[in-house]
Amino acid sequence: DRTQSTAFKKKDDDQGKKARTGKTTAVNMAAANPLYYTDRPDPRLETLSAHSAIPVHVNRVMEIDEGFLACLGAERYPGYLGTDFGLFGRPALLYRGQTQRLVEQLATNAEAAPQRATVLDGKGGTGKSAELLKLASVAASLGHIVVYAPSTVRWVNSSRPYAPEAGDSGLFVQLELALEQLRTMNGMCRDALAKVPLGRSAAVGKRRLAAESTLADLIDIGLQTPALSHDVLDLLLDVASTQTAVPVLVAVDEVNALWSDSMYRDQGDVVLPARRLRLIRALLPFFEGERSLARGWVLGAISRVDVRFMPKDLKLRLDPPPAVPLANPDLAKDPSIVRQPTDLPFDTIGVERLSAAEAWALMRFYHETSIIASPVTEALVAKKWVVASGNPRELFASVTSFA
Amino acid sequence: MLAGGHGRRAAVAAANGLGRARYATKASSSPFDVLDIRPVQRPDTAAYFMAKPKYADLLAGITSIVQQHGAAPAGEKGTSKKGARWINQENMAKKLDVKLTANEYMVLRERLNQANSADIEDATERDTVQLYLNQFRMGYQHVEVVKLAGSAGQSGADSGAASTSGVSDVTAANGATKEADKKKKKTHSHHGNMDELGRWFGGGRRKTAHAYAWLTPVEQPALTMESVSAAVDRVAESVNQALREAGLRPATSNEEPTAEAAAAVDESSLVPESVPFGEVLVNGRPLVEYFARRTDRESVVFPFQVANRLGKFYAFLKVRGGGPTGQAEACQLAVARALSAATDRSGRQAIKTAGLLITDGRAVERKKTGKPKARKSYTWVKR
Repeated sequence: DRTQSTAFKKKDDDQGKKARTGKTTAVNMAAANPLYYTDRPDPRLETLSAHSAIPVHVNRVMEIDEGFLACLGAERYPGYLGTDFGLFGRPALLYRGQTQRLVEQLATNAEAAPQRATVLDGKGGTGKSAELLKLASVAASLGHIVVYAPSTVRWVNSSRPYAPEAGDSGLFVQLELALEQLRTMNGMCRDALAKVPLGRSAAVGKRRLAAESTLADLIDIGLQTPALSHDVLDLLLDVASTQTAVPVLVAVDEVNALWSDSMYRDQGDVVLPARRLRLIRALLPFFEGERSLARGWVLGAISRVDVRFMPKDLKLRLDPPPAVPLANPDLAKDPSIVRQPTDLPFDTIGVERLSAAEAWALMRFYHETSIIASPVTEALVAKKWVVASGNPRELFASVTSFA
Repeated sequence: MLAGGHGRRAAVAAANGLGRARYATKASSSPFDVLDIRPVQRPDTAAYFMAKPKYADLLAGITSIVQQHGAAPAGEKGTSKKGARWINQENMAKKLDVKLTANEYMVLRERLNQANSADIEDATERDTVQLYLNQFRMGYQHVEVVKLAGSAGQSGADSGAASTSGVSDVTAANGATKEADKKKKKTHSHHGNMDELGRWFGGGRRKTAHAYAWLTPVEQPALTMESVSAAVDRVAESVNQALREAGLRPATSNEEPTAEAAAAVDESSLVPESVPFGEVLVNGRPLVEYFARRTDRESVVFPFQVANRLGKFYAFLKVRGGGPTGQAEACQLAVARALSAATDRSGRQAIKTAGLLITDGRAVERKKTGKPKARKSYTWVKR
């Protein structure tokens, strides 16, 4: 057949090690050295749920529910957890003593909601995002309504489309993100949403919902009509915050982005503050004390990874400089000299570094998943802990680095 | 005139109610007697008007001893007795309550050596001079040897001996206290010593960085019956939980665990009750915050690793000067010095064998004239 060119015929690579684009590995596993290429270890881990979140399981590595994570999507894992889960081969996190305390607080607040929101604060890499993820999965398994935003920086870093809202409100809408949030809620707590009636007839766009309609019906409208996603989300939050049938957990990671300046610009090329985004505006009142839940908990987590979205005022309030008393009595009485205010509209819980027992459990898990080849001894754990000063992120980095 | 003067002075003194004995001594024959303006007290020493009268008097006194008994001039072999060590310049200045320059201290020490090596024939005088010089010796503590009242009969016979040997008793007692001092730990901050707060101290340098380290051992939890039983209960509960999860019957207190139960227990469920690890703070900040590079952090904790004492000490480090690597290496030396005193013989030996007690004297080489840097030369141009 002279119509077919022989110059560009692909060679048969059944026995060779040529890699095809992105689909197969470069190593022929049949001929690979069994000493080096071993099967990925598969330690038996318990799934974190309402039944397994008990004090006996403290300092154990547990797996996050796959169904819960499927609602998020792999590209929306908070922080660096996506990379970590890929290395472990499974979405596993350590169930710490602090996690147990947060779970107990969640159960307490499910009956009597506090007036102020709570924010997890701590140094970078201590596990704030991981704690929020664990708590959201436990709340979902408990049958709560979970409003979980794993990354708020994505809402303000101009990575998603935005548009000015119709009318003169001055706000900007992000329909894609709002739709994504509705899909997440629908996947996580559909059953819980179906238990909560609207309580009053409501109009969403051209659709009208009866008082007996549930939040699940409301979300369906939003999923079917993306243009109404913001209205649906606002109405859903309004109804969920006032009802007492089902507890609600509002969990927002990277909550500092709510007060920052976004990377969007308005029509006058002026930088948009985050509060002019409608999606941010839906959640911000919960953290400023203007709205509260009738039953449930509003929980956030600070992120110090991206300093662009950490407002200076918030940073000074979270880490205030030492208030040295003025030696000059005249200056001390001068009312024009104003100290940095340290009051916050929310309560803070400090996420601490790893304890020795937690470090042991983590190092044993790393050994079981073949991240550490050498046996886990007290000297190894002590060295890794001291060099990392108990910081989980630094400890993991020292274990996985080649230095 | 004089007679009139005396009479007038006496009359004035009488009128003022002053006694006659104030001025009128036959020894005083100053022209100021007439004017009655001579000061009441005279300086008791000729060095009163000098800049450092105490130092001058001391030097004069020791020099008089040397001149009286004739010592060998300084610099000759054998001038200072073997073992004669004098207090250092700082302590001497404190003792005399005056600032001493290095030259003044050197001169004083030279005279002390000469006085110490003076050939005094009279034993009593020799003891007196030695007793006088003892106050300038390093490590001297004055001890009074006192005879008890109960041994009066015996003391009557011994009193003569005691009076002559009182000085030797004191000397012997001083010698005994010196030995006790050597065994006693020093309380001031010194390399490898424990201070009054129970911290082991060490200092180190590298390039232009200076570091100081204070180590405190981590307290091991006391094993009490309550803590042991609580730990046993915790382990038993975790074992039972693992058995329930594996679908097996939990063991009761009277039963022995079966082979199935033992196999079902996951090792991760038996995490031991660990003692907290000792943290390392550098200039008040955690180690991970102060040193960004992992190699710098590991070099700081390397002495602990070598001595197998990782996590057993809280370390507070103070470091100044230099860059990050210089500071890390200085911290390493400081920690090694403190740890070598805080650990046992095996730890000390390990630290010494690893070469961690050796100061690395390498520093940036100076720039030379005619060259842009220490070794680099300017580009050679043929024409």
